[in-house]
Amino acid sequence: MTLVTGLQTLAGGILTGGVYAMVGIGLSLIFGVMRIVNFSHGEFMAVGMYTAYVLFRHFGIDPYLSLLLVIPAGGLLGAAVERLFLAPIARAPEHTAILMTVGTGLILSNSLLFLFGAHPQTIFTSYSTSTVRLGPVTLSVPLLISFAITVAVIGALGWVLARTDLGRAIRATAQNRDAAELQGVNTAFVRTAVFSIGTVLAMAAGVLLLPVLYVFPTVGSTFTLKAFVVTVLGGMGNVAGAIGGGILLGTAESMGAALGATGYRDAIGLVAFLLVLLFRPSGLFGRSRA
Amino acid sequence: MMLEVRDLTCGYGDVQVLFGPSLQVEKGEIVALLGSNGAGKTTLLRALTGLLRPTGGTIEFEGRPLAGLPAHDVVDRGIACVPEGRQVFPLMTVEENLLLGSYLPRARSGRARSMDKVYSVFPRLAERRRQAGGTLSGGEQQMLAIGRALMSEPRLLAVDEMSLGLAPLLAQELFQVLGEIRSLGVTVLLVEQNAQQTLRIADRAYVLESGRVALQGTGADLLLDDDVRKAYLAL
Repeated sequence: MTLVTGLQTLAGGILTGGVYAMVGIGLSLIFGVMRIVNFSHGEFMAVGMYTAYVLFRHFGIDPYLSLLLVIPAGGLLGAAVERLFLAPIARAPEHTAILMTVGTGLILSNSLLFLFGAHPQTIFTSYSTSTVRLGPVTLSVPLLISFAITVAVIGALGWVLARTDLGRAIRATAQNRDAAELQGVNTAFVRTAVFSIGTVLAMAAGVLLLPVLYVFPTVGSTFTLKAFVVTVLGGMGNVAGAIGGGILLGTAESMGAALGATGYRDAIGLVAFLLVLLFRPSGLFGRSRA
Repeated sequence: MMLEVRDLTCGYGDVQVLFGPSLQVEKGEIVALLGSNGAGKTTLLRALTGLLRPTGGTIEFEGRPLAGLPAHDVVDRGIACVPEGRQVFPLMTVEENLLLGSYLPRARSGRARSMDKVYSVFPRLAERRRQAGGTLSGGEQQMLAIGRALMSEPRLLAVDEMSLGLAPLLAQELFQVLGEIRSLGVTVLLVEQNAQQTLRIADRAYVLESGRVALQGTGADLLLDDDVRKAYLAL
Protein backbone atom coordinates (compact mmCIF):
# COMPACT_ATOMS: atom_id res chain seq x y z
CA MET A 1 0.00 0.00 0.00
CA THR A 2 1.48 3.34 -1.01
CA LEU A 3 1.15 6.40 1.17
CA VAL A 4 -1.44 7.91 -1.16
CA THR A 5 -3.72 4.86 -1.17
CA GLY A 6 -3.21 4.65 2.57
CA LEU A 7 -4.40 8.23 3.03
CA GLN A 8 -7.20 7.65 0.56
CA THR A 9 -8.39 4.59 2.46
CA LEU A 10 -8.12 6.36 5.80
CA ALA A 11 -10.16 9.31 4.57
CA GLY A 12 -12.86 7.05 3.14
CA GLY A 13 -12.94 5.08 6.39
CA ILE A 14 -13.32 8.18 8.53
CA LEU A 15 -16.15 9.53 6.35
CA THR A 16 -18.08 6.23 6.52
CA GLY A 17 -17.21 5.90 10.20
CA GLY A 18 -18.90 9.19 10.95
CA VAL A 19 -22.22 7.80 9.77
CA TYR A 20 -21.59 4.56 11.69
CA ALA A 21 -21.03 6.74 14.75
CA MET A 22 -24.42 8.36 14.27
CA VAL A 23 -26.12 4.95 14.16
CA GLY A 24 -24.08 3.78 17.15
CA ILE A 25 -24.75 6.86 19.30
CA GLY A 26 -28.49 6.24 19.03
CA LEU A 27 -28.09 2.66 20.20
CA SER A 28 -25.72 3.72 22.95
CA LEU A 29 -27.97 6.49 24.24
CA ILE A 30 -30.97 4.15 24.35
CA PHE A 31 -28.95 1.52 26.19
CA GLY A 32 -27.49 4.04 28.63
CA VAL A 33 -30.84 5.42 29.71
CA MET A 34 -33.28 2.55 29.16
CA ARG A 35 -30.95 -0.44 29.70
CA ILE A 36 -32.45 -1.87 26.52
CA VAL A 37 -30.42 -3.20 23.60
CA ASN A 38 -32.54 -2.02 20.69
CA PHE A 39 -32.47 -4.86 18.17
CA SER A 40 -34.71 -2.89 15.83
CA HIS A 41 -32.21 -0.04 15.52
CA GLY A 42 -30.99 -0.96 12.03
CA GLU A 43 -34.56 -1.45 10.84
CA PHE A 44 -35.34 2.17 11.76
CA MET A 45 -32.35 3.09 9.62
CA ALA A 46 -33.88 1.12 6.75
CA VAL A 47 -37.18 2.95 7.27
CA GLY A 48 -35.25 6.23 7.00
CA MET A 49 -33.63 5.06 3.75
CA TYR A 50 -36.95 4.07 2.20
CA THR A 51 -38.60 7.31 3.31
CA ALA A 52 -35.90 9.33 1.55
CA TYR A 53 -36.11 6.94 -1.41
CA VAL A 54 -39.86 7.49 -1.83
CA LEU A 55 -39.53 11.25 -1.39
CA PHE A 56 -36.85 11.33 -4.08
CA ARG A 57 -38.50 8.95 -6.55
CA HIS A 58 -42.05 10.27 -6.35
CA PHE A 59 -41.61 13.87 -5.30
CA GLY A 60 -38.13 14.63 -6.53
CA ILE A 61 -37.00 15.79 -3.11
CA ASP A 62 -33.24 15.72 -2.67
CA PRO A 63 -32.25 13.16 0.01
CA TYR A 64 -30.36 15.71 2.08
CA LEU A 65 -33.29 18.09 1.95
CA SER A 66 -35.62 15.24 2.95
CA LEU A 67 -33.91 15.22 6.37
CA LEU A 68 -36.15 18.16 7.23
CA LEU A 69 -39.11 15.77 6.97
CA VAL A 70 -37.43 12.57 8.14
CA ILE A 71 -36.16 14.04 11.42
CA PRO A 72 -39.58 15.08 12.80
CA ALA A 73 -41.18 11.93 11.39
CA GLY A 74 -38.53 9.80 13.09
CA GLY A 75 -39.11 11.62 16.34
CA LEU A 76 -42.82 10.85 16.24
CA LEU A 77 -42.31 7.23 15.15
CA GLY A 78 -39.76 6.62 17.91
CA ALA A 79 -41.96 8.21 20.56
CA ALA A 80 -44.97 6.17 19.41
CA VAL A 81 -43.05 2.87 19.44
CA GLU A 82 -41.71 3.60 22.93
CA ARG A 83 -45.12 4.59 24.33
CA LEU A 84 -46.97 1.67 22.75
CA PHE A 85 -44.49 -1.20 23.01
CA LEU A 86 -41.71 -0.39 25.47
CA ALA A 87 -43.27 1.76 28.22
CA PRO A 88 -45.71 -1.02 29.24
CA ILE A 89 -42.80 -3.41 29.84
CA ALA A 90 -40.45 -0.90 31.49
CA ARG A 91 -40.40 -2.89 34.73
CA ALA A 92 -40.40 -6.38 33.18
CA PRO A 93 -37.30 -8.64 33.12
CA GLU A 94 -34.63 -7.70 30.56
CA HIS A 95 -35.33 -10.45 28.05
CA THR A 96 -38.85 -9.08 27.54
CA ALA A 97 -37.37 -5.95 25.97
CA ILE A 98 -35.12 -8.08 23.72
CA LEU A 99 -38.14 -9.97 22.38
CA MET A 100 -40.06 -6.73 21.96
CA THR A 101 -37.37 -4.94 19.97
CA VAL A 102 -36.60 -8.01 17.84
CA GLY A 103 -40.32 -8.26 17.13
CA THR A 104 -40.58 -4.56 16.28
CA GLY A 105 -37.66 -4.98 13.88
CA LEU A 106 -39.31 -7.96 12.17
CA ILE A 107 -42.54 -6.03 11.72
CA LEU A 108 -40.65 -3.08 10.25
CA SER A 109 -38.51 -5.08 7.82
CA ASN A 110 -41.46 -7.21 6.69
CA SER A 111 -43.62 -4.12 6.18
CA LEU A 112 -40.84 -2.74 3.96
CA LEU A 113 -40.72 -6.05 2.09
CA PHE A 114 -44.47 -5.92 1.59
CA LEU A 115 -44.40 -2.32 0.38
CA PHE A 116 -41.28 -2.29 -1.77
CA GLY A 117 -40.40 -5.89 -2.67
CA ALA A 118 -37.11 -7.63 -1.99
CA HIS A 119 -34.96 -6.31 -4.82
CA PRO A 120 -32.24 -3.80 -3.97
CA GLN A 121 -32.92 -0.29 -5.18
CA THR A 122 -30.88 2.84 -5.40
CA ILE A 123 -31.26 6.46 -6.33
CA PHE A 124 -29.07 8.44 -8.64
CA THR A 125 -28.49 12.11 -7.93
CA SER A 126 -26.40 14.54 -9.95
CA TYR A 127 -23.66 14.28 -7.35
CA SER A 128 -23.83 10.53 -6.59
CA THR A 129 -20.50 9.77 -8.25
CA SER A 130 -18.86 13.20 -8.14
CA THR A 131 -15.66 13.66 -6.23
CA VAL A 132 -13.41 16.42 -5.02
CA ARG A 133 -9.63 16.28 -4.92
CA LEU A 134 -7.83 17.27 -1.76
CA GLY A 135 -4.13 17.13 -2.67
CA PRO A 136 -3.47 13.54 -3.71
CA VAL A 137 -6.67 12.24 -2.07
CA THR A 138 -10.02 11.93 -3.90
CA LEU A 139 -13.14 12.21 -1.74
CA SER A 140 -16.70 11.26 -2.65
CA VAL A 141 -18.97 14.31 -2.54
CA PRO A 142 -22.04 12.55 -1.05
CA LEU A 143 -19.89 11.00 1.69
CA LEU A 144 -18.40 14.41 2.43
CA ILE A 145 -21.83 16.03 2.70
CA SER A 146 -23.04 13.14 4.87
CA PHE A 147 -20.03 13.51 7.12
CA ALA A 148 -20.60 17.25 7.49
CA ILE A 149 -24.25 16.68 8.42
CA THR A 150 -23.26 13.92 10.83
CA VAL A 151 -20.81 16.24 12.57
CA ALA A 152 -23.50 18.90 12.83
CA VAL A 153 -26.10 16.46 14.21
CA ILE A 154 -23.72 14.89 16.71
CA GLY A 155 -22.53 18.35 17.73
CA ALA A 156 -26.10 19.49 18.32
CA LEU A 157 -26.86 16.36 20.35
CA GLY A 158 -23.68 16.86 22.37
CA TRP A 159 -24.73 20.43 23.13
CA VAL A 160 -28.20 19.31 24.23
CA LEU A 161 -26.76 16.62 26.49
CA ALA A 162 -24.12 18.87 28.03
CA ARG A 163 -25.89 22.20 28.37
CA THR A 164 -29.67 21.90 28.57
CA ASP A 165 -32.07 20.83 31.30
CA LEU A 166 -33.33 17.99 29.11
CA GLY A 167 -29.75 16.82 28.52
CA ARG A 168 -28.95 16.88 32.23
CA ALA A 169 -32.19 15.01 32.93
CA ILE A 170 -31.20 12.36 30.37
CA ARG A 171 -27.75 11.89 31.88
CA ALA A 172 -29.15 11.84 35.40
CA THR A 173 -31.72 9.20 34.45
CA ALA A 174 -28.93 7.06 32.97
CA GLN A 175 -26.87 7.37 36.16
CA ASN A 176 -29.58 6.91 38.79
CA ARG A 177 -33.23 6.70 37.86
CA ASP A 178 -34.73 7.03 41.35
CA ALA A 179 -32.50 9.98 42.23
CA ALA A 180 -33.54 11.67 38.98
CA GLU A 181 -37.22 11.21 39.90
CA LEU A 182 -36.50 12.81 43.29
CA GLN A 183 -35.28 15.95 41.47
CA GLY A 184 -38.60 16.22 39.65
CA VAL A 185 -37.52 14.48 36.45
CA ASN A 186 -40.34 12.52 34.80
CA THR A 187 -38.13 9.57 33.88
CA ALA A 188 -40.87 7.86 31.85
CA PHE A 189 -40.91 10.95 29.64
CA VAL A 190 -37.11 10.92 29.45
CA ARG A 191 -37.20 7.30 28.23
CA THR A 192 -39.65 8.25 25.50
CA ALA A 193 -37.53 11.25 24.52
CA VAL A 194 -34.37 9.16 24.38
CA PHE A 195 -35.93 6.43 22.24
CA SER A 196 -37.27 9.15 20.00
CA ILE A 197 -33.82 10.78 19.65
CA GLY A 198 -32.23 7.37 18.99
CA THR A 199 -34.77 6.66 16.26
CA VAL A 200 -34.12 10.06 14.66
CA LEU A 201 -30.38 9.34 14.62
CA ALA A 202 -30.90 5.92 13.01
CA MET A 203 -33.33 7.23 10.39
CA ALA A 204 -31.16 10.25 9.60
CA ALA A 205 -28.13 7.97 9.18
CA GLY A 206 -30.23 5.91 6.74
CA VAL A 207 -30.96 9.03 4.71
CA LEU A 208 -27.28 9.97 4.67
CA LEU A 209 -26.29 6.52 3.41
CA LEU A 210 -28.93 6.36 0.67
CA PRO A 211 -26.85 8.19 -1.98
CA VAL A 212 -24.00 5.69 -1.58
CA LEU A 213 -25.74 2.44 -0.69
CA TYR A 214 -28.33 0.06 -2.15
CA VAL A 215 -31.49 -0.16 -0.09
CA PHE A 216 -33.38 -3.41 0.49
CA PRO A 217 -35.80 -4.41 3.27
CA THR A 218 -33.26 -6.30 5.39
CA VAL A 219 -30.42 -3.79 4.98
CA GLY A 220 -31.06 -2.86 8.60
CA SER A 221 -29.91 -6.11 10.20
CA THR A 222 -26.30 -5.55 9.09
CA PHE A 223 -26.49 -2.09 10.59
CA THR A 224 -27.97 -3.24 13.89
CA LEU A 225 -24.86 -5.39 14.11
CA LYS A 226 -22.55 -2.52 13.12
CA ALA A 227 -24.24 -0.19 15.59
CA PHE A 228 -23.73 -2.83 18.26
CA VAL A 229 -20.03 -3.14 17.35
CA VAL A 230 -19.66 0.66 17.48
CA THR A 231 -21.38 0.77 20.86
CA VAL A 232 -19.27 -1.99 22.37
CA LEU A 233 -16.07 -0.48 20.98
CA GLY A 234 -16.99 2.81 22.61
CA GLY A 235 -18.27 1.28 25.85
CA MET A 236 -21.96 0.46 26.35
CA GLY A 237 -23.86 3.65 27.08
CA ASN A 238 -20.83 5.90 26.53
CA VAL A 239 -22.05 8.37 23.92
CA ALA A 240 -18.70 10.08 23.30
CA GLY A 241 -17.02 6.68 23.01
CA ALA A 242 -19.43 5.72 20.23
CA ILE A 243 -17.92 8.45 18.02
CA GLY A 244 -14.47 6.88 18.40
CA GLY A 245 -16.02 3.43 17.90
CA GLY A 246 -17.71 4.50 14.66
CA ILE A 247 -14.57 6.05 13.16
CA LEU A 248 -12.55 3.01 14.24
CA LEU A 249 -14.98 0.57 12.61
CA GLY A 250 -15.18 2.61 9.40
CA THR A 251 -11.39 2.83 9.19
CA ALA A 252 -10.83 -0.86 10.02
CA GLU A 253 -13.32 -1.89 7.33
CA SER A 254 -11.87 0.29 4.57
CA MET A 255 -8.29 -0.63 5.53
CA GLY A 256 -9.19 -4.31 5.43
CA ALA A 257 -10.89 -3.88 2.07
CA ALA A 258 -7.85 -2.01 0.68
CA LEU A 259 -5.56 -4.81 1.81
CA GLY A 260 -7.48 -7.21 -0.39
CA ALA A 261 -10.18 -8.52 1.91
CA THR A 262 -13.13 -6.77 0.24
CA GLY A 263 -15.42 -9.75 0.77
CA TYR A 264 -14.58 -9.80 4.46
CA ARG A 265 -15.53 -6.18 5.11
CA ASP A 266 -18.21 -7.03 7.67
CA ALA A 267 -16.13 -9.83 9.18
CA ILE A 268 -13.34 -7.38 10.00
CA GLY A 269 -15.69 -5.34 12.14
CA LEU A 270 -16.85 -8.44 13.98
CA VAL A 271 -13.27 -9.58 14.63
CA ALA A 272 -12.52 -6.16 16.12
CA PHE A 273 -15.69 -6.55 18.21
CA LEU A 274 -14.63 -9.97 19.57
CA LEU A 275 -11.12 -8.75 20.37
CA VAL A 276 -12.48 -5.80 22.33
CA LEU A 277 -14.92 -8.04 24.20
CA LEU A 278 -12.02 -10.36 25.11
CA PHE A 279 -9.53 -7.74 26.25
CA ARG A 280 -11.52 -4.62 27.14
CA PRO A 281 -15.05 -5.77 28.01
CA SER A 282 -16.06 -2.27 29.16
CA GLY A 283 -15.01 -0.74 25.83
CA LEU A 284 -11.93 0.97 24.46
CA PHE A 285 -12.65 4.24 26.14
CA GLY A 286 -12.66 3.29 29.80
CA ARG A 287 -15.85 3.89 31.77
CA SER A 288 -18.98 2.09 30.75
CA ARG A 289 -21.89 4.44 31.42
CA ALA A 290 -23.19 7.68 30.00
CA MET B 1 -51.00 20.48 59.76
CA MET B 2 -48.33 20.35 57.06
CA LEU B 3 -47.96 16.59 56.70
CA GLU B 4 -50.33 13.94 57.98
CA VAL B 5 -49.65 10.23 57.47
CA ARG B 6 -52.45 7.96 58.62
CA ASP B 7 -52.49 4.14 58.96
CA LEU B 8 -49.95 3.68 56.18
CA THR B 9 -49.40 0.17 54.87
CA CYS B 10 -46.70 -0.56 52.34
CA GLY B 11 -44.18 -3.18 51.32
CA TYR B 12 -42.17 -4.82 48.58
CA GLY B 13 -44.04 -7.49 46.65
CA ASP B 14 -45.45 -9.96 49.18
CA VAL B 15 -43.37 -8.62 52.04
CA GLN B 16 -45.28 -6.08 54.09
CA VAL B 17 -43.03 -3.61 55.89
CA LEU B 18 -45.34 -0.91 57.26
CA PHE B 19 -48.28 -1.92 59.46
CA GLY B 20 -50.22 1.29 59.71
CA PRO B 21 -48.01 3.91 61.35
CA SER B 22 -49.46 7.42 61.66
CA LEU B 23 -47.50 10.60 62.09
CA GLN B 24 -47.86 14.35 61.82
CA VAL B 25 -45.52 17.20 61.03
CA GLU B 26 -46.37 20.84 61.76
CA LYS B 27 -45.03 23.66 59.67
CA GLY B 28 -41.65 24.85 60.94
CA GLU B 29 -40.90 21.74 63.02
CA ILE B 30 -38.00 19.34 62.93
CA VAL B 31 -39.54 15.92 63.37
CA ALA B 32 -37.39 12.81 63.73
CA LEU B 33 -38.21 9.26 62.77
CA LEU B 34 -36.07 6.83 64.76
CA GLY B 35 -35.78 3.10 64.87
CA SER B 36 -33.38 0.26 64.30
CA ASN B 37 -32.42 -1.28 60.99
CA GLY B 38 -35.42 -2.80 59.22
CA ALA B 39 -38.00 -0.94 61.32
CA GLY B 40 -39.46 0.57 58.15
CA LYS B 41 -38.10 4.12 58.30
CA THR B 42 -36.73 4.22 54.76
CA THR B 43 -39.81 2.44 53.41
CA LEU B 44 -42.00 5.12 54.97
CA LEU B 45 -39.89 7.81 53.33
CA ARG B 46 -40.01 6.05 49.95
CA ALA B 47 -43.79 5.90 50.22
CA LEU B 48 -43.92 9.56 51.20
CA THR B 49 -41.72 10.67 48.27
CA GLY B 50 -43.63 8.58 45.74
CA LEU B 51 -40.86 6.08 44.92
CA LEU B 52 -43.04 3.36 46.43
CA ARG B 53 -46.80 3.05 46.10
CA PRO B 54 -48.57 2.52 49.46
CA THR B 55 -51.06 -0.35 49.64
CA GLY B 56 -53.27 1.41 52.20
CA GLY B 57 -53.69 4.45 54.42
CA THR B 58 -53.45 8.10 53.50
CA ILE B 59 -50.78 10.75 53.15
CA GLU B 60 -51.87 14.37 53.14
CA PHE B 61 -49.55 17.29 52.44
CA GLU B 62 -50.84 20.81 53.04
CA GLY B 63 -54.35 19.43 53.05
CA ARG B 64 -54.16 17.56 49.74
CA PRO B 65 -53.74 13.80 49.27
CA LEU B 66 -50.30 12.67 48.16
CA ALA B 67 -50.36 8.87 48.11
CA GLY B 68 -50.08 7.38 44.62
CA LEU B 69 -48.48 10.42 42.98
CA PRO B 70 -45.27 9.64 41.06
CA ALA B 71 -42.10 10.93 42.72
CA HIS B 72 -41.51 13.78 40.26
CA ASP B 73 -44.96 15.21 41.08
CA VAL B 74 -44.36 14.94 44.83
CA VAL B 75 -41.24 17.14 44.43
CA ASP B 76 -43.34 19.63 42.51
CA ARG B 77 -45.76 19.76 45.44
CA GLY B 78 -42.93 20.95 47.68
CA ILE B 79 -41.32 17.91 49.31
CA ALA B 80 -37.61 17.40 48.58
CA CYS B 81 -35.73 14.30 49.61
CA VAL B 82 -32.11 13.66 50.57
CA PRO B 83 -32.04 9.92 49.92
CA GLU B 84 -30.18 7.28 51.89
CA GLY B 85 -26.68 6.79 50.52
CA ARG B 86 -26.74 10.37 49.13
CA GLN B 87 -27.31 9.23 45.50
CA VAL B 88 -25.47 12.12 43.90
CA PHE B 89 -25.02 11.78 40.14
CA PRO B 90 -21.44 10.50 40.07
CA LEU B 91 -20.46 11.53 36.53
CA MET B 92 -21.93 15.01 36.72
CA THR B 93 -20.17 17.98 38.25
CA VAL B 94 -21.22 19.51 41.56
CA GLU B 95 -22.77 22.41 39.66
CA GLU B 96 -24.69 20.08 37.30
CA ASN B 97 -26.00 18.12 40.28
CA LEU B 98 -27.29 21.36 41.77
CA LEU B 99 -28.79 22.51 38.47
CA LEU B 100 -30.66 19.23 38.31
CA GLY B 101 -32.08 19.95 41.74
CA SER B 102 -33.80 22.96 40.20
CA TYR B 103 -35.03 21.01 37.16
CA LEU B 104 -38.69 21.77 37.90
CA PRO B 105 -40.02 24.74 35.92
CA ARG B 106 -41.22 26.45 39.13
CA ALA B 107 -37.66 26.30 40.56
CA ARG B 108 -35.77 27.39 37.43
CA SER B 109 -36.42 31.11 37.75
CA GLY B 110 -34.84 31.22 41.21
CA ARG B 111 -31.98 28.99 40.16
CA ALA B 112 -29.09 31.46 40.50
CA ARG B 113 -30.32 32.72 43.88
CA SER B 114 -30.83 29.16 45.22
CA MET B 115 -27.35 28.20 44.09
CA ASP B 116 -25.77 31.18 45.85
CA LYS B 117 -27.66 30.21 48.99
CA VAL B 118 -26.42 26.59 48.80
CA TYR B 119 -22.84 27.74 48.20
CA SER B 120 -23.04 30.08 51.19
CA VAL B 121 -24.26 27.24 53.44
CA PHE B 122 -21.63 24.84 52.01
CA PRO B 123 -18.57 26.83 50.83
CA ARG B 124 -16.82 23.48 50.20
CA LEU B 125 -19.23 22.82 47.33
CA ALA B 126 -18.39 26.17 45.74
CA GLU B 127 -14.70 25.23 45.79
CA ARG B 128 -15.47 21.97 44.03
CA ARG B 129 -18.18 23.16 41.66
CA ARG B 130 -16.40 21.76 38.55
CA GLN B 131 -15.54 18.41 40.15
CA ALA B 132 -17.50 15.22 39.36
CA GLY B 133 -19.91 14.20 42.13
CA GLY B 134 -18.41 10.70 42.32
CA THR B 135 -14.98 12.08 43.24
CA LEU B 136 -16.18 13.89 46.38
CA SER B 137 -15.66 12.55 49.91
CA GLY B 138 -18.63 11.01 51.70
CA GLY B 139 -19.24 14.18 53.72
CA GLU B 140 -19.05 16.42 50.66
CA GLN B 141 -21.46 14.12 48.82
CA GLN B 142 -23.88 14.48 51.74
CA MET B 143 -23.57 18.27 51.50
CA LEU B 144 -24.21 18.04 47.78
CA ALA B 145 -27.29 15.86 48.30
CA ILE B 146 -28.69 18.35 50.83
CA GLY B 147 -27.84 21.32 48.58
CA ARG B 148 -29.40 19.62 45.58
CA ALA B 149 -32.62 19.02 47.54
CA LEU B 150 -32.76 22.69 48.60
CA MET B 151 -32.48 23.78 44.95
CA SER B 152 -36.09 22.71 44.35
CA GLU B 153 -37.23 25.35 46.92
CA PRO B 154 -39.01 22.78 49.11
CA ARG B 155 -41.30 23.55 52.01
CA LEU B 156 -40.61 20.13 53.55
CA LEU B 157 -37.18 18.51 53.47
CA ALA B 158 -37.06 14.75 54.11
CA VAL B 159 -33.57 13.57 55.05
CA ASP B 160 -32.74 9.84 55.16
CA GLU B 161 -29.84 8.55 57.30
CA MET B 162 -27.79 11.70 56.93
CA SER B 163 -25.14 10.80 59.49
CA LEU B 164 -24.57 7.24 58.29
CA GLY B 165 -20.88 6.61 57.62
CA LEU B 166 -19.78 10.14 58.48
CA ALA B 167 -17.15 11.18 61.01
CA PRO B 168 -18.88 12.32 64.25
CA LEU B 169 -17.59 15.88 63.98
CA LEU B 170 -18.87 16.22 60.41
CA ALA B 171 -22.22 14.69 61.36
CA GLN B 172 -22.53 17.24 64.16
CA GLU B 173 -21.81 20.03 61.68
CA LEU B 174 -24.55 18.78 59.33
CA PHE B 175 -27.06 18.53 62.19
CA GLN B 176 -26.37 22.20 62.85
CA VAL B 177 -26.96 22.95 59.17
CA LEU B 178 -30.40 21.31 59.44
CA GLY B 179 -31.16 23.80 62.21
CA GLU B 180 -30.13 26.64 59.88
CA ILE B 181 -32.31 25.23 57.12
CA ARG B 182 -35.29 25.20 59.45
CA SER B 183 -34.64 28.83 60.33
CA LEU B 184 -34.84 29.59 56.60
CA GLY B 185 -38.44 28.40 56.79
CA VAL B 186 -38.10 24.81 55.64
CA THR B 187 -39.75 22.10 57.72
CA VAL B 188 -37.55 19.03 58.29
CA LEU B 189 -38.43 15.35 58.59
CA LEU B 190 -35.34 13.51 59.70
CA VAL B 191 -34.91 9.75 59.50
CA GLU B 192 -32.00 8.61 61.63
CA GLN B 193 -30.32 5.81 63.52
CA ASN B 194 -28.15 8.27 65.42
CA ALA B 195 -30.82 8.88 68.07
CA GLN B 196 -28.87 10.96 70.53
CA GLN B 197 -27.83 13.78 68.21
CA THR B 198 -31.15 13.64 66.40
CA LEU B 199 -33.21 14.06 69.58
CA ARG B 200 -31.14 17.10 70.55
CA ILE B 201 -32.27 19.06 67.50
CA ALA B 202 -35.72 17.50 66.97
CA ASP B 203 -38.86 19.15 68.31
CA ARG B 204 -40.69 15.84 68.31
CA ALA B 205 -39.83 12.26 67.40
CA TYR B 206 -41.48 8.99 66.51
CA VAL B 207 -39.85 5.64 67.22
CA LEU B 208 -40.69 3.02 64.65
CA GLU B 209 -40.54 -0.67 65.50
CA SER B 210 -41.44 -3.49 63.08
CA GLY B 211 -43.42 -1.13 60.90
CA ARG B 212 -45.46 0.44 63.73
CA VAL B 213 -45.08 3.57 65.84
CA ALA B 214 -43.83 2.25 69.19
CA LEU B 215 -43.23 5.57 70.93
CA GLN B 216 -43.67 9.24 70.29
CA GLY B 217 -42.96 12.46 72.14
CA THR B 218 -40.91 15.61 72.22
CA GLY B 219 -37.21 15.26 71.60
CA ALA B 220 -36.39 16.28 75.16
CA ASP B 221 -38.86 13.78 76.70
CA LEU B 222 -37.62 10.87 74.63
CA LEU B 223 -34.02 11.77 75.40
CA LEU B 224 -34.80 11.41 79.13
CA ASP B 225 -37.08 8.36 78.80
CA ASP B 226 -35.51 5.28 80.37
CA ASP B 227 -36.93 2.83 77.84
CA VAL B 228 -35.68 4.90 74.92
CA ARG B 229 -32.28 5.33 76.50
CA LYS B 230 -31.93 1.58 76.99
CA ALA B 231 -33.40 0.44 73.68
CA TYR B 232 -32.22 3.07 71.23
CA LEU B 233 -29.48 5.14 72.76
CA ALA B 234 -27.48 2.35 74.37
CA LEU B 235 -26.97 4.49 77.50
